[in-house]
Amino acid sequence: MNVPESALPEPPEGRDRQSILAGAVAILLGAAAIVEGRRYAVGSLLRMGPGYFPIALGTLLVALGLALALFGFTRRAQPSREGVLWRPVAMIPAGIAGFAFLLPRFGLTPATFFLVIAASLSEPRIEPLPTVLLAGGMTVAVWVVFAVLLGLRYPLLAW
Amino acid sequence: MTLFDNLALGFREALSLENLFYCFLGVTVGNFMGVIPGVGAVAAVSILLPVTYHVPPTAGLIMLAGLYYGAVYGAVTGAILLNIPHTVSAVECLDGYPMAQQGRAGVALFMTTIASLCGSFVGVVILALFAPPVAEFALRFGSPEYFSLIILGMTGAAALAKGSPLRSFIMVLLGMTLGIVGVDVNSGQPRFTYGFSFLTDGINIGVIAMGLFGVAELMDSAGKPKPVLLDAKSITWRSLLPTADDWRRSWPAILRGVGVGSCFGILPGGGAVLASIMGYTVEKQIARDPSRFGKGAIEGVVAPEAAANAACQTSFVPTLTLGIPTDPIMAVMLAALIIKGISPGPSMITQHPDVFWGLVASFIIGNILLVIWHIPLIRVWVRLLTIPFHMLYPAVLVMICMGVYSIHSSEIDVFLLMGFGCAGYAMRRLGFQPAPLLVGLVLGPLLEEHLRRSLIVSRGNLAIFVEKPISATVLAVTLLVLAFMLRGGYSGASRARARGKQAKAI
Repeated sequence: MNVPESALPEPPEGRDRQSILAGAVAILLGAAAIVEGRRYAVGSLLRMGPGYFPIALGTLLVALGLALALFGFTRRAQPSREGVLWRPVAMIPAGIAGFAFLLPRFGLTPATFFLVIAASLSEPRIEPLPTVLLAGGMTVAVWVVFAVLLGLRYPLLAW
Repeated sequence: MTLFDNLALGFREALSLENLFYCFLGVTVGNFMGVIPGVGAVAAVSILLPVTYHVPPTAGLIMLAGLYYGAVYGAVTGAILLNIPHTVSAVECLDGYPMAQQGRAGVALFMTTIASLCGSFVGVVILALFAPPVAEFALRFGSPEYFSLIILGMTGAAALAKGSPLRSFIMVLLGMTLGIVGVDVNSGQPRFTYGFSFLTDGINIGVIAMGLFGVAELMDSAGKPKPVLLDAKSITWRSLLPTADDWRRSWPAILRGVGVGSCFGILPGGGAVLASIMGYTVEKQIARDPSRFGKGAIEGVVAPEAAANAACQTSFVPTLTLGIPTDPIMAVMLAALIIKGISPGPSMITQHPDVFWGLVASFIIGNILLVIWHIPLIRVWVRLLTIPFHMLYPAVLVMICMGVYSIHSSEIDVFLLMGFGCAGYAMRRLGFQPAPLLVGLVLGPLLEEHLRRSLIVSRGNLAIFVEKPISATVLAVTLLVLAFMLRGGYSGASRARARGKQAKAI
């Protein structure tokens, strides 16, 4: 757990941008909550309206976001994590979106195949035969679990 | 009714064919998911959460609980054999993996199984003995007391979570803000729905949990090189047998671990993760020769494991008796109960004794099932773990998506899942941990409700929270937790300045 100090990478130059950015995101989300909360009746402490609690939360979010951002300005940048691997970051959400689109329109089989193949594309190289076998196996597995055991009527194929 | 009558009722309930099946399903899937890198206990619990919509409440709860302790159990297998530091089992890696490298993986697996069993049994006994009196005491609580308890729960969850407390508080607030989405119970007005009708019932916690934990974790860990898989043949029954010296060292360590774990499980924000870390710290502190730790000391494996499992069971005490979850897994569990029309709280044990005692009995059955998986069937189990990761995570994704879709047969839920997956990935990049968000999400609506009610009773006077003695005590404890947390943060920062390095704390 305790890394010897010599093993720590040299801190990069500049301010701690991760904390500043994180604080900014919190401020934005808090501001959004306040703006939306103001559309509802605020009321008083005695009779709180539906807007009271959201505005209170939004204000606290802005305050803590400011604190985090200021903290980021007062200290040096942190040794950063490894870079973003774009393949999984793109392919996994794409696979989920395709699944959501295909399942109600074309049934379990195309949806499952699309998701399994898209997710497998996150890896640097894809082995076609095991991937297709996995997709087939998962189609049967979800059909057994959800249609047979839980009694939900999802067709294997539809159009 | 005496304790034995209650337990008899529980076993009748838990031994029904249906409940036995869901207990088996829960522990097996949990145990398996617990080992997979990037899928922790929260993801394991939330993956089968949609199934609870379609089964009776007792069966659903038994299954979810089984997933939880099954995943805690599985995580240690991953730690010992593959050196995968999960949240629950991070400390077991320190000595478990060196043991495996010395060819003593079998002994480590065997002794952790014994340690888990001891921890769980003591935890169950504490749950059975203490939950009913705590619930009875809590019957006197009104809205001000609940308000303060929820504040304490949230503060604890933020203060003890991994990473910076400031970031954790932001996550709690964000979770509470997400909890606002839907119809306001007091005025009947839809809030934060932006005119979308699918948001009027709020966002399903399963969608959020699976997005932030399941999908985001997989986005983070897919495509990266994975640890070299183990040689399944090296685990034989012979290799499981511990030596006399192992037994002598382990027994006291297990007992200390159980004690530490039982206490930390009940604490707000505690739970299995903190318990295992504390279990390890205690062992290292009292050891005659601390230098053995990190090189395969068996005490460093069994004590955290016993502590984690004891905490797993005792953390059900505040969740089921007060309706206040101590960690994100308990938050998901609580949500599942509410979905089934059971409101956890002081009257749950008396109103739904079959659910409560059935759950208690299922813990005992589930732990015996886990021992069967880990001792007689260990070779089958280890063989299962050799399935490569790049085949596993597409399968896990299919289960997640299918589960989310099955909640309301709604494709919008699946698109929301994708959105929360991306948001969860972005949060990780910004250094935020999603665990406190779930606690805020579940407790936020309760907090608003109790705040409004308290202030109506007190005619808008905020002093009510310090005038009621129980509420004042709880708030004082909250301040102590906060002070402790700030002190830790500050001393960390000053130490770092002194060294000219950065603080890890924030």
